[in-house]
Amino acid sequence: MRSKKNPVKKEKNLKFQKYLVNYLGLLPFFVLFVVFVLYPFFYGIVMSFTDWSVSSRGNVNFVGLENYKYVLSGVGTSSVRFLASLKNLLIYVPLTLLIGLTLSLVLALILSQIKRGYSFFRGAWFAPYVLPLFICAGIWQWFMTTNTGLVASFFAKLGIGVGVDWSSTAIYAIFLVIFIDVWNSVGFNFVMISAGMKDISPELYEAAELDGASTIQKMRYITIPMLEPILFVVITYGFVSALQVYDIPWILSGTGDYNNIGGPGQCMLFPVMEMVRNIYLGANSGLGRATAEGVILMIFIMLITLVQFKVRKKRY
Amino acid sequence: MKRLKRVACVVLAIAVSLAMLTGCSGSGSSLAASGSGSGSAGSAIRTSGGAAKAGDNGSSDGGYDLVFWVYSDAVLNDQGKLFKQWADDFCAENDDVNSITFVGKDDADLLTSLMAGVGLPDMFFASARDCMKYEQAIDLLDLSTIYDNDTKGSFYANTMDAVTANDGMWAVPFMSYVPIIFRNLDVMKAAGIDASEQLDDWDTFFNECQKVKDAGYDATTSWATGGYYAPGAVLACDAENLTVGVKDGKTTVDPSQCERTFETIQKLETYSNGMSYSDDAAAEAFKTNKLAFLLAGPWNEPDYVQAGVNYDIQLVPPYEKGGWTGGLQGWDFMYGVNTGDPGRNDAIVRWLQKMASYDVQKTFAQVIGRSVLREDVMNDPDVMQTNMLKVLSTGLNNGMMQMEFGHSNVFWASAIGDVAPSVATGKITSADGAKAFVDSVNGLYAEAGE
Repeated sequence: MRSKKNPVKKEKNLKFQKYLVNYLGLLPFFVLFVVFVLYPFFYGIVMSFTDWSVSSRGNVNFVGLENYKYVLSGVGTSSVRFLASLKNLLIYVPLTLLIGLTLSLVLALILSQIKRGYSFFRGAWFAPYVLPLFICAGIWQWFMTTNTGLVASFFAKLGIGVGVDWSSTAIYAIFLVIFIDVWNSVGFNFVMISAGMKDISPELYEAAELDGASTIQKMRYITIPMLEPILFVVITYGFVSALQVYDIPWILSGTGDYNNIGGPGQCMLFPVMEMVRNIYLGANSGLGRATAEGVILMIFIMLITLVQFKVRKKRY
Repeated sequence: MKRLKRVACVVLAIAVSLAMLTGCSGSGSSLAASGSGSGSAGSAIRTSGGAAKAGDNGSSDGGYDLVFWVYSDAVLNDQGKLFKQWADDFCAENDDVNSITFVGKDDADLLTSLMAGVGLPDMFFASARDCMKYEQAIDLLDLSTIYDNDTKGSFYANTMDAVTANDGMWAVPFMSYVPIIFRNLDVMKAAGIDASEQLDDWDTFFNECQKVKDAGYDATTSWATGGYYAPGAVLACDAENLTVGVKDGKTTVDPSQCERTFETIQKLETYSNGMSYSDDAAAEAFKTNKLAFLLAGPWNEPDYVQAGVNYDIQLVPPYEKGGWTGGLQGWDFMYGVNTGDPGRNDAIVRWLQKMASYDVQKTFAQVIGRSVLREDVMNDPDVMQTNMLKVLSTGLNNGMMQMEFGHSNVFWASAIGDVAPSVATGKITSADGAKAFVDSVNGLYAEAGE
């Protein structure tokens, strides 16, 4: 005797048939997603466990955690360079975020008080953001030329960096990168924060004024809490892009030779630059090491983003 | 009607997906697997907007459309015209070749494409520094048939050694350079220096720097910053003393052999204006008669000519008059890719044979003013008509190779770029700098597993 068909299963089948066309409509997207996002992502992770190099020609061997052990060991040129790049990142990321965000917030607060010329200032601050980063780096390379550069000379008059080659001297080089990055991105953050400020109801400020709140109190208890969703986006985006910093230091320290990328003593070296060096150097396991470094960086980014989400969830 | 729409939707969705999948892999994958470059060359033609037929091993009329990746200079201005003329002549002389499309690429772009194994051209023009990487990464065409004994003897001997490996000859030596010093004659005159006096040795150079400095001008840039180029040029002045080589994964260069190099770099810093040799600001200072001596490359000359600078060209000086000089030599080779099609490979070899010929390299040197790697051309009095070529010719006879081209992946001399700034600023002594340099070179060999 034939058993009766399960009604739940039948309903599911009907639903599937009903939406089959819709699912098929999504197929092109999924094809692109799988081919260009998922496949390279997992391929990269898998290859980080191999001795993949320029000369492999498909002959790739599984080496387990060797690449990870090597890049974190601190022994060997590539490993020393990678660890130095992580150290630089520890200085660069917090400072870039702190300075950039503070400046954007202060700018947004000041310019929100301006009745005339607001559009001009907004446009002026945003302008660097639309410039390609290599142009920004080029402009600042010129400004920071030792002794003759406009800004370097100004700093020298203040007693900062007298006679220093900013792009090849430790600490100065990182500050130069921070400076350029903040200059480039502050306009974008400022526009985001300004847009968020416009959404804050004026009634809240009026009520606070009636209660006798000072300007600082209004900022602390109304503006910043109400801006939280925007600030979260700005901080998360800032973190992720700062951790992947590449173009500005690459141009500033560019010499046409991969061994010298990142400047003398790795003063301006960041992880993505070291990955690129490993790719092009042609060493054994070079590509495997590069992907291992990429995975390590990805784990950092994921952990930091996760912490940000957790903190936000806890607070709000 | 509704059913028809549904069916149309399904068909379209599947068609779009299949089309995308086909576009993503298709012939490219099979080429990667076979190591052939012919079909992928077609995609390069399409990308570059060339008119040649795409993705074929031979067109319907039996002719080949070859693709040649070159430095971007070679598709522009005089070089572009020259290469186009040679290609037109070649196609006219060879019935089986329809066209040669030149695609401008830089080294990094080349290396990425070659590693991917797809999109390979038929020939490419690239740095000799990556010669071994190319040999390892792709199926290069053996060019041994180009080199009879006469041809071999026409090139600088060490270039023949560089292209020879594993019973084959894998490239055509073409272009070269050595670091050179441009002297601003107006600044020299203002400083009371006789411009006819040549930079015979380092002491002469330091004396001239001092005079320029005393006259209130900038003498030179920093020879320690901006990477390996400037400190490497100083290192090459000690080439005769350096026991370059590798033994048991370590360099055979002893720190004591390059101590003088670091002393010179340190002394040069006292005459530096703080800029790197490659800074745009340094070039501007030179062009506006504020800087006397600028280390640069032969490729910089057109810029100074255009700016109307009154200059002459000198080699990086030796330590003693008549001593070793010439700086660190860089070379560029032309390579062929094994396409798997004997007819096409033959066409590639014939084109590269033309590039290796006396006439082509002589014309290149005369028209472009850059040195080539055929020794007979560089010693030809007809060619040596410009100051630049005379200087480069001397440099090629004396200078030191940047690395063991074709037999090593380690650009060992570049390690100096990391150490020189610390010595120049006095952070470490010359002796410590020499030791740090040797340690750094050893690190590079260890990393490369050589």
